Amino acid sequence: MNFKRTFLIFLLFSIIQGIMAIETAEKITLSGYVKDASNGEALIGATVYVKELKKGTFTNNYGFYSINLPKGSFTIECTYVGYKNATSTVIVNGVQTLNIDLTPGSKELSEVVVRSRRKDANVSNNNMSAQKLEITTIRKIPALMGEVDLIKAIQLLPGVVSAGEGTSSFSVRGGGIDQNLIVLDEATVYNASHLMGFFSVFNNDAIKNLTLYKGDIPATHDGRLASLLEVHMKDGNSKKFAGSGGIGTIASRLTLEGPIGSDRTTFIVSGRRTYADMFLKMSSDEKIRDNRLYFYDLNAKLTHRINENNRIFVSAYMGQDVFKNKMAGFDFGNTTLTARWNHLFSKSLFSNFTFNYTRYNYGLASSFSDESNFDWKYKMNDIGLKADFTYFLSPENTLKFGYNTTFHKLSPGTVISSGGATSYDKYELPDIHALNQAIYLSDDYKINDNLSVKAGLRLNAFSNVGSGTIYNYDNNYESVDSTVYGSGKFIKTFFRLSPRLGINYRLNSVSSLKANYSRTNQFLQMASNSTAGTPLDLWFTSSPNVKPQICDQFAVGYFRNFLDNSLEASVELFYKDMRNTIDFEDHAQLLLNKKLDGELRFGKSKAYGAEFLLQKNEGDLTGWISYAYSHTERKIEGINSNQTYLAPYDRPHTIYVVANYALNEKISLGANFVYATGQPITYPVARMETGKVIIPIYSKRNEYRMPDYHRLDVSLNYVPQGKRKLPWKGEWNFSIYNVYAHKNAWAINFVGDKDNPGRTKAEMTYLFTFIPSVTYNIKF
Amino acid sequence: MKYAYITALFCATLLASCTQEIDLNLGKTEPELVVDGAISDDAAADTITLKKSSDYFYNKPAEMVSGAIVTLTDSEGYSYTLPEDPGKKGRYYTPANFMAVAGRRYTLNISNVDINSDGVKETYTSESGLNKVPDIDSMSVVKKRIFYQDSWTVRVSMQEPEKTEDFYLFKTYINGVCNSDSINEWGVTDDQFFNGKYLISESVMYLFSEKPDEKVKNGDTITLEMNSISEEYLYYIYQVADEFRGRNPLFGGQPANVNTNIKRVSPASTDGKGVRGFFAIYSTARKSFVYKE
Repeated sequence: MNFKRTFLIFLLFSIIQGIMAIETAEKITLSGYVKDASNGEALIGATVYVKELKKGTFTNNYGFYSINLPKGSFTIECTYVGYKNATSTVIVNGVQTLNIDLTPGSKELSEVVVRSRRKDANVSNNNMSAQKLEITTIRKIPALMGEVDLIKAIQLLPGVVSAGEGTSSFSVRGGGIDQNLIVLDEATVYNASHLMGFFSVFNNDAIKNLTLYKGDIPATHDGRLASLLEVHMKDGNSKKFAGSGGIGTIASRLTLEGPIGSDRTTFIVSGRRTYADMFLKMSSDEKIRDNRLYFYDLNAKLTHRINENNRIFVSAYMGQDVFKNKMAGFDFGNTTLTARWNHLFSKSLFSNFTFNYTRYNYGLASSFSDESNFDWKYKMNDIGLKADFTYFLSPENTLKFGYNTTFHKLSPGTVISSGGATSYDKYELPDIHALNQAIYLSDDYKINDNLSVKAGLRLNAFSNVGSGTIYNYDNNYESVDSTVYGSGKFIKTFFRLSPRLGINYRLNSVSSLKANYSRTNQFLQMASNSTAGTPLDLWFTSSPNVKPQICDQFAVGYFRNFLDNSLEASVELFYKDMRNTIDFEDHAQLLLNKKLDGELRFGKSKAYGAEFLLQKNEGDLTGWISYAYSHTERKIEGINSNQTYLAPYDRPHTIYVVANYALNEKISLGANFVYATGQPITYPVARMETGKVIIPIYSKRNEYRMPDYHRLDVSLNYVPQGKRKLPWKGEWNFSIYNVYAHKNAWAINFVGDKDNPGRTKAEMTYLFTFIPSVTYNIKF
Repeated sequence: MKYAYITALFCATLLASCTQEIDLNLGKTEPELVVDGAISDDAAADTITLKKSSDYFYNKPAEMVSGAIVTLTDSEGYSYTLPEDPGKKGRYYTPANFMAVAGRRYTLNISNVDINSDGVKETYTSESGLNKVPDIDSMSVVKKRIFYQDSWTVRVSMQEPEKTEDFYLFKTYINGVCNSDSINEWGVTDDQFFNGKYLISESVMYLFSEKPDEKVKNGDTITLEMNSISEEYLYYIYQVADEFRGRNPLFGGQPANVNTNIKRVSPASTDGKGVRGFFAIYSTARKSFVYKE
């Protein structure tokens, strides 16, 4: 194993040396960074276009671009939606750096505008099934409890559906909620929800942008079947000290950013806390008063430019959610830490070295009497190293390659029972260790003006590593014996290839056809009995008893822009074929179970669908309308009598309408409407009496549907233009969630009637109806 | 296990959600035999009840199954027929000469019934072992304030057997009247956390003052019944209690039918359908305590 890795790293460095040798001979490289002139934030995906050659390139995730040119004089045009174009004339006769600062050209209302695409990007980008969201767009969407949430915005994109009210979990194209890879500055986030899913862990004051890849996941990432959500933090204002914040009815937040010393070093710090429990303290009911319910989170980042060729970034996130009362307590939280070094080996070989650390933990404790208490702690740690390279071979050809490795340590828990006179033993589940390594190579090649191709290959090696215990099961899923492995021993390694292929055929200047094939492999999944994401979900790895899950996705799409690119439209069709799908047996015991893999059942699943999107980005009225149809089903041995059944996230029809209207300089109105077919559900078809209670007898799994989900949210943004000049710019946001108070079923239960024994009834639980909120936002 | 208790409680307090009754059109299915009964090794007669399942909104007492031939055979070859109670149709009680002995295996046989009324008589069978129960050395009842109300903890001191994996079912009686008579009120636990230990005044049942039949007064005699049950029966009880309480998307799982340990052998059923419920047989230990304030 070690030899293989050493060999691969050696190979990588040889390639780099080779590249550096080649390029100095032929063309000359023009490179640099594109930034926002007002605050120095690097602009991602800005176009740098050479007029005379009719060729161009885009800036990468760090704002860096590189383009090879012959000697001569050229007009370089740099464009970005929301910014004024910048044109420079450059005389190229030697390796040259051209850094470009773009001035924001939008109205007063928009804050740090970091738009990510050129005007016809919809049609020209060889990216499909990828949706980039700008922070300003997100801010205009009415939000639950006045807090604008990035994950709530994702849930308004076609192909995405929320897993349930009050949760940040989402399903993409019928996939499971554990099949989305969520990455914050290159560190994985395992649970993106805060308490009850009202807010996600992303504080949008600290976020620069995010991209959701619904299919067509780039070869740089793998490990989840359904999607990649890539979130980047802001670097911090390098021009001046600035800040923003908001005070709301449920939570408040504050962000501070600025340069330290010179503009070579910047920082940004963002914090948030809820105080919902303040309102609980006002209750007259003693039981409610005693509840403590809050979360806080903190984002921090430090950026330093050592010299033209070296930059370092350190970013961190820390959040904790707590619920406690006199009887029980429950807390969970994520911590991520990333340290990165951008290094330019040459002006066309950009490299990024990352060290990342993620920790996810939760605990459940009871203290309901002084004689019997219970304390359960669960945690997961990831430590990773990445080396990613981008080689700008020519304006038509960009090569990406790299090596990633992550070490996982899962500690499913230790339960300590205490209090009584009898002393209990600790109940410990053994730790699980795994090492995930991958190398990848991908090429973006523009064959001619109309056709570009993207191909990538990723090789994964996922290894179970000791110390660990593997149970062996018989045909009845009963464990017969187990094998114990010592520390550091490689128990089993899975080699899996993930190929990617994408084609973009430009039909004319306003339309294009795209097709894409990708294979993804998943080695880490969630053991979850619930249909909504809960913080008590356990992650488990592939192992001798659990094969890695595989998904082959095929997608085609037609993209067309209207009215001078101000209206974007697209149609996408997809088909997913998945193997080694995992589900859980009836009445699975997932929590605190050493023999968890005995509760698993395996089979296959498939999904297909169509997504339609119409988006308007310019003018006073902006927004989008989307409709998606999808179907997902599973066939698992040992479940539903081995017959096919609908997957939990099969929502055939989803309709999302998002609109924002800028009435005048001071006021803008926003509205969004959400409709989704109800989730599949298993209903009773009979009842039986046993032990003096009446319980249901059920139909086949997921044979029925819950009532359809729909709601309308509205908001109003008011920027007062008072005569008195305040030291900050203030803005009021009024919003109402679920305006017509539709009772959306969150759970349907079949229970006995307490007032009428012998009578059973169907009961629907719903969470949120009409909820207004007020937030005051400031910027300085 | 206590964990289940906590999560149920947690759901109740955390969610300030709203619930309302709704009308639903549910499907129907063929009636199935529901066997409800538990045999214990104490001197009292035990009953096996046979009923039919009904439509979900039937809202009338279940139809009893009369005229069945119910027999119990043990692993030593002794066989007993359970006669039907002439006054209560569907109830078959153990005859006076029946003695359940710990360590033996028991087979239940039910025949001469036609549940789905298709003209074909069916036969059902089930098998279970009778586990030994340890002795309760002593018990006590102590008043405590739990969950914002007065409650009484019923405690035992005893040696938990180390060699066996044991599962326990607890019931309580106040002055001879059972107050934990429905399955969701039974106390059940496995011995995972205390296998082989000597339990010192360990609380096993809780009586809460908010429930009128659990209020304990000075001078009341509290009787604790401890039964040593099979692992399968423990899971059956957990599943029934889960179904009865209702599930919530956070902690509940996919709805699934409660397991059964009874099979329909003729006509043979391939997917387990046709019969539900459980045949439980266990040994019992009892201890009483007079509560003084």
